[in-house]
Amino acid sequence: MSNDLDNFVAISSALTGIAASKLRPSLDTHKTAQAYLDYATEHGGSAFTELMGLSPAEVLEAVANEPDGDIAIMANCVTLMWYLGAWYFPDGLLAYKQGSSSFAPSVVISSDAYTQGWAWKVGQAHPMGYSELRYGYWSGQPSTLSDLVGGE
Amino acid sequence: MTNFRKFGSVCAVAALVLTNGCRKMDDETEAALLGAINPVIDTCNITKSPKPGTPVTTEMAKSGLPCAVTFNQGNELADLQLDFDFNSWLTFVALHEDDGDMAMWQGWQDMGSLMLPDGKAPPPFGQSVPAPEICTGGADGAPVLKMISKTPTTPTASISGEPLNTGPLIDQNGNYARYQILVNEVMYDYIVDNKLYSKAGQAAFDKDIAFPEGNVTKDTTGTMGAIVLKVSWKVLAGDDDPADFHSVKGYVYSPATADTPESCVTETLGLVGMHIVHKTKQEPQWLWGTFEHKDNVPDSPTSSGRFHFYDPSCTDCEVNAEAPQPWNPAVEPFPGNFRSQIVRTTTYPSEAVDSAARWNPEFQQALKGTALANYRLVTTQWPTDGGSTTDPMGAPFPLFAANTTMETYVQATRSGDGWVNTPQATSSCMSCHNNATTTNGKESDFSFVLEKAE
Repeated sequence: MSNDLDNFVAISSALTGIAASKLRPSLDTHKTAQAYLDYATEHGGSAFTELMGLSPAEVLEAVANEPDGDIAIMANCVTLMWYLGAWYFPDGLLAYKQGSSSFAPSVVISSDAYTQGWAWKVGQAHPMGYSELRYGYWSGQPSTLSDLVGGE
Repeated sequence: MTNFRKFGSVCAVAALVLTNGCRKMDDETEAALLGAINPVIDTCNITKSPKPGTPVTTEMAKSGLPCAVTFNQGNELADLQLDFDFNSWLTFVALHEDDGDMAMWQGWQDMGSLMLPDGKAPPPFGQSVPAPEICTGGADGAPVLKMISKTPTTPTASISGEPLNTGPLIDQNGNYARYQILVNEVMYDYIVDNKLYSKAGQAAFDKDIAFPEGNVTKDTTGTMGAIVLKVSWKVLAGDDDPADFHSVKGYVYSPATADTPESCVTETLGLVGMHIVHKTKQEPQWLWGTFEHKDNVPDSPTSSGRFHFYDPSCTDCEVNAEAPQPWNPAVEPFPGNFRSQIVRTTTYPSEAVDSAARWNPEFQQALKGTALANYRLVTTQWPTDGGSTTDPMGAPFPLFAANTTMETYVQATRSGDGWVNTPQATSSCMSCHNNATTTNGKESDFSFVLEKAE
């Protein structure tokens, strides 16, 4: 399972652009990566199994070469999961991408997933109703993007 | 601090010629003042947590008060949780060392004798303001227990500690649980020397609030740092055996209401809960250890056993429901035969569960024959990244922590037939105290104590 988790985090980092050490800190208090791996394994079907058999570079290549293919859609699901804390149903996501549906159905994975969505940090913001920041934070500069998501 | 300000003015006058020298002197003066508040001591307990297979001995359990955590188990979450929890147990036991005829912590400053009406200066450390006139017949310095919850709107909560709208806790005898908040001498001195006990003093304080830190510099030498205690008591009555509790004789005070006169009676009270909150150099978000009496509540609904705040024979009592209003502690037993039916519902990660499961029986065995053997550590919340530049809470672990006597009604939220931890709805020490401010809206270093200044 550790290899699966390592691979999942590596693929997730490649897809999201967020440092692996941020997605899965050495002292991992939220255990988000494990929770997402478990969730995707249960709900992602064969496409997720196939995605997990690839290297991060191969996943990126599949997304670029066949953006509506099963691997790419599953990669989109994984990316959205990290950013929004929600699981987008692959069929609905494909229909939305192709324009045959105006809505991509999803389910928020957990209250913890909601607060830990990376969209908030990339926006140097916080989710509605939850902030780790202290009273009066709005009068100061937010943390830098590199501090929040890792990298330069 | 007055001297420091005077010295600062001198520096301003001489700035053109002596800027660097004065800055150095300012730093030195400030360091000297902080040193007086948080003096170097040579009695820090640096006992290491024993490795698996080596039991906690009585000598180890009673080895003294740590200034900071001593690490010994390893670097994984599970290892570190063991060290933090071991530190919490050492601290809990050390605080109960007899200091004359009472535990060390019972000589600390109660909030009721620290943050006084009209911003008056508090009495010297360890001394109390006079008890209400109606309180007579008790021992000199007997604690006056006024708080019945942490709710600002309850009748006796003029000294409330939390911004939580939670109700009182009613034991199986129909009596209200009572609460205290106390600070150690280091924290007291920081507040008093900086005049932070008044709104005016807080307004004049032009630096960041930074309570002194516990730290070990070499061997047993270090500083103790600020410690805050939140304590819950139950009146010992009915079938309660005082020998099962760390107990105290105190005044149980209830103010006058429209329907009832002021009252104050001397009672023997048993300790049922204790938060130990200690600021350390490596954990600037403080350490949050919490203990309970082992017979407070069950970990899930049960039809057997005997608990202080749960009746196994009651099949239609609503679990974790607040007492019906009105709440008036002068009327006991609670009207309508209401008794709190409390179950522990906060869930903890395996690292925290396993750590408590290791240390609790070991310390209880080491303390066998004493009242302290009847207490259990619930957990210790600590920052995994105390120096984080993005998370002022320092990435706490476990994410949630609750004492069933103090965060009774904010343990978890219902989900189907069970309970789940929910951010902002389930108690988290650091998440809540991260919002603490002074009366003029300045961050107050995780302490709500300063919010009570007048």
